[in-house]
Amino acid sequence: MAAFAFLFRGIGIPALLLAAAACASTTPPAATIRSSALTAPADLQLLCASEAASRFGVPADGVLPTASRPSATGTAFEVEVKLPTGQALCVIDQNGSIQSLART
Amino acid sequence: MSVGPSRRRLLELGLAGLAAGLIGAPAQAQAIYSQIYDAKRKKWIDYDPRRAQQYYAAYGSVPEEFKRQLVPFRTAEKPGTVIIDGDRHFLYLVQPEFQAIRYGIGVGRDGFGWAGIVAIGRMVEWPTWTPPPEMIARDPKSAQWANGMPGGPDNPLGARAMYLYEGGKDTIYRIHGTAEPWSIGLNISSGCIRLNNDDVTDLYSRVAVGAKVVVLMSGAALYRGV
Repeated sequence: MAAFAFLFRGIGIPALLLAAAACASTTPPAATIRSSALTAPADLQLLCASEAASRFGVPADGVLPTASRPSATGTAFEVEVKLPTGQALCVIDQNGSIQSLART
Repeated sequence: MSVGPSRRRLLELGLAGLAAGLIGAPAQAQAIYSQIYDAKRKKWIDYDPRRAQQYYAAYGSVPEEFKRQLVPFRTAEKPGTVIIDGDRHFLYLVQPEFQAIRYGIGVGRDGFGWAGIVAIGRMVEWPTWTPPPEMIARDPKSAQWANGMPGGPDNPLGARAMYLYEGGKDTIYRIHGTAEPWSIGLNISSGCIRLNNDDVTDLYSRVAVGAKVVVLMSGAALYRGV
């Protein structure tokens, strides 16, 4: 008990002051923002577009990702790609490996 | 015959879209927006203009995610290319070695978002702002600047502007600075991409006329040519 009282006297007040300072901190919290819907990262979307242009033999400037969402398995993203004529669906994993790509 | 508010809104958006050369779904609403975690209530809440202004007033900056930073970026696009992720409110400037400089941005509000492949056609420091006729029609207060608002800290285009062209023609869209730095992370513009003035000045110093600009935004109308 005596040891506890010593600890309280020794570090309790500074700790309380630190806690109070933390409450009044103007340091913004980390990782506070997200999007209301999860989409594929831009680089993964563009990898799909690049692969679609190559595989279907169309000009890259006519190929654009238009929508994306997590796949049903949750381990990859589905990316809808607009082609000069028609569309394609690309499935790409978090590492940038294309699992499938087909015209729709 | 009277035209109801929603019908009038659709017509207005449709006409604005046609004027801007958009195809596809010019009146389609943009559904994705930012959310911020409320630690007191332990839930995610919409990051709207009021909360964005409160955050900026409390911390003197935008959230960390929207600050300029170097990030990994796996792409075959060449360095100097600009990639805009309108859904996540990021602009990437491609760098060598599979990296990019990421900036926080504000994008078009509901019905004003767009996607496409364009290019930087012109670059201006402290640009004059001239509201287009369709903006004057929506906001009569902007009519006082119909002949142009001189560049300066209160100018909506901010410190720098990069004019986006497609097929050699001005799209009417720009990447520019802002007099409202709190607005980064929001769907708030008439289709332009806005950065805070420090970031747009940094971006301006790193890009060149002719740089490719890819704009990604889920479900948005496509700029013609794509």
